[in-house]
Amino acid sequence: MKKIRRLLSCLLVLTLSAASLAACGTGGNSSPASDTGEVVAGSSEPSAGTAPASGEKISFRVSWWGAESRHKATLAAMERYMELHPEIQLVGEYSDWGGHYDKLVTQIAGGTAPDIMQINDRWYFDFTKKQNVVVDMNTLGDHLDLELFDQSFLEDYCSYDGVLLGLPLGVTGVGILYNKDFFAEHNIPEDTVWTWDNLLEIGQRVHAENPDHYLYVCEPPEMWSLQKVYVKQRIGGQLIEEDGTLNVTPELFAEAFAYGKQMLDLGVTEPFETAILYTDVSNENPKWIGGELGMQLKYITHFKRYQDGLDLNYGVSNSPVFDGMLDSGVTVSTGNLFGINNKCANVEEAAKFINWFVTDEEAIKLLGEERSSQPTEKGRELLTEAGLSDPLVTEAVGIALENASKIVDNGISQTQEFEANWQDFIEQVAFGKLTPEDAGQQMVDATLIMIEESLAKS
Amino acid sequence: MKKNNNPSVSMKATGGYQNWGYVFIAPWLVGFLLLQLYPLLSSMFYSFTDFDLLNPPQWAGLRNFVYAFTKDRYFFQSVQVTVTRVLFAVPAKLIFALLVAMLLNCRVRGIGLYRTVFYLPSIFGGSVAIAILWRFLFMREGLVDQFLANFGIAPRDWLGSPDTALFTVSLVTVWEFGSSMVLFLAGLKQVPEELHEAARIDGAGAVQRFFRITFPLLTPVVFFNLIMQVINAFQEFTTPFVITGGGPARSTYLYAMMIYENGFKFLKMGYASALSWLMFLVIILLTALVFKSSPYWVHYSDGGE
Repeated sequence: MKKIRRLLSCLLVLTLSAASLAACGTGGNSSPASDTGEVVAGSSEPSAGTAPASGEKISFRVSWWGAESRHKATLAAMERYMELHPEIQLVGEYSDWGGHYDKLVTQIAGGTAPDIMQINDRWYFDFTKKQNVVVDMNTLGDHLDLELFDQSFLEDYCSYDGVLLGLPLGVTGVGILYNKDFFAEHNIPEDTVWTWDNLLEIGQRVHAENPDHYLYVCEPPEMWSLQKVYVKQRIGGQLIEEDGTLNVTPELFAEAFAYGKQMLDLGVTEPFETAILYTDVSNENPKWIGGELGMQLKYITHFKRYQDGLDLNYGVSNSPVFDGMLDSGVTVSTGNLFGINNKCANVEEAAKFINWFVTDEEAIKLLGEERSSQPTEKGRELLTEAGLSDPLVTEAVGIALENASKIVDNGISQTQEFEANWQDFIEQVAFGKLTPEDAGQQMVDATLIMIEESLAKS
Repeated sequence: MKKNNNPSVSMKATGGYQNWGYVFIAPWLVGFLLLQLYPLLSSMFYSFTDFDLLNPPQWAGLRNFVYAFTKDRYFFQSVQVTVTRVLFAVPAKLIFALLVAMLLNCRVRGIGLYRTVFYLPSIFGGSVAIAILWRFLFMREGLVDQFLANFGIAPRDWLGSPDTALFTVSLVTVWEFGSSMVLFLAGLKQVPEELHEAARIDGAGAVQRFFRITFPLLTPVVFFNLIMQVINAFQEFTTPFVITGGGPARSTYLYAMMIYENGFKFLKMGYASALSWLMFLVIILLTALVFKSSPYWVHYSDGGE
């Protein structure tokens, strides 16, 4: 009896310790946490970024977000790289934009983030606080063809505090995407220079001509993009300075909120009551698909979603402007970068892959404009010569670059909380819960609290 | 009987059984310690820190709790939204589940099929498919509006208006009444037919029999369902998150959504942990209250012994 009891106790101890060991294992970067849309292309089991023993494959997990066509192109490029480098194994982890950031941050916190990750320039502030989440690419110059990139572009749009967070995967910006047939139907000249005034005027006329039609379409996050342009044109500087000074007055916020409210009240833009059901996916809005909506301000990286599967005739133009503006307010950015997890065990090999991904001819042709225009002059020329570039994207990027804002948003002006607060006040005003004036004051109050908290912690 | 005559043998046997017990509960025990107790304790620690997920936590004392009550403009709003939802969804779900259970308690052909069909919605949970379905049902001039038009009710933006969005989203919970219904059904089966028969002979009507016999005997099930549904309703996240994401104008911004947003969007995991603990305390308190009140309204047929 005693023997059995001892045997059982041993068994129990073993079970417990095995379980705890298994749990510890996730702390390192050796666990290939599976996610939505994980694809293992290759034969052996992947173990993230492990150093190569002789004859063993070096495996990297690569993550990104985007539309279906981007997944296909990226996987094809990865496949090709593995053919060229049989010692490398690449595992793709991809999803739609929705929730991607939340998931990635959780992975980083849990030590299970991918070796190579697509990151967004709006995350720099959080990703470089105290300790870097990603490797400073400046330290990997030997493995990268940095000279192919425009130096000021790398410094202004891909770096934070002198740290190069990754290699840019594209050049993008915001521009107005419009439906040509809609414009023709309402006799709107395609070369209209949009101002904040004629947007209201023409919008009102369109809605009067056909009550089902709206010149503009936006839901709160898109209204926010538009108001950001409005505000930046009036202050001509950072929204929030690095030292925490808020440059937007309650009056200016109120003015922007009032403008948004006017757009809704005059029937210039589709009411939030219906548009809000398609937040972040206005390409799924039945009115957009049916050609009852005219235009909207969009990131060029999103154009693909509006083109795939939709039979609409598109044109592009510049954001609204006004005489005497201090800045164009037109955001230009890289949109996406490929950065290397600072826990990656084989940084050089990862850097080589990223370099190939953005500078190699074959890769450029495989990837095309899935992440807006190519980030290098060479890449853009190559696609044009090969007839692979989309004239719409090329034109939109050209317009954005020509009118680019002189202000590269700093980290604190781009925090998610600032954005979320702004969007909330847009809604509060739109639904008549707050007057623009009250919302302006409360927006400033909320932002000051956010800045105080943010500075106290960093 | 023989065993009991020899106390030492009996002791030994019990000891052996106890060890077997540990082996059998080991899977649960390991799961509990690692997947529940450890996160629970660490979240309690985080609630007293500034923790942004990317850097090690920094001790902050009670700052997170003070922030919630003094500076966070969404705190009280989300509490209000959550309480409103609980007050609507829980009673509505229980009443609906009870009604359906009573219907399904009849003896008709193919009753098993009906029971399965009515249970189906509960399986869907808070899926994206439900979000899309709800959007189609409740969009302006959608199916619901078309149905209501028969009664002369004008179409409206069920999900797009801050006045009705919370109600519309909560309907999903009411619609997913399956588990409560099954429990009610089991409870109804336990009600002795003799009592009804005796009451009928004494001239009691259907309504009287329900309130005097069925419902009192069902109160233990009501009690259990109430506790479970209150706990679930406070923690509700997925369904409203995928349908409205908290909008419009934060009218469906539930407490759990605020926790999620602070933790994973704003990278304030310390604050999110503090918020979770506040909710935990409220749920514990409410559960205790319901328990305390139970002697006054829950009737056990065996006297509750």
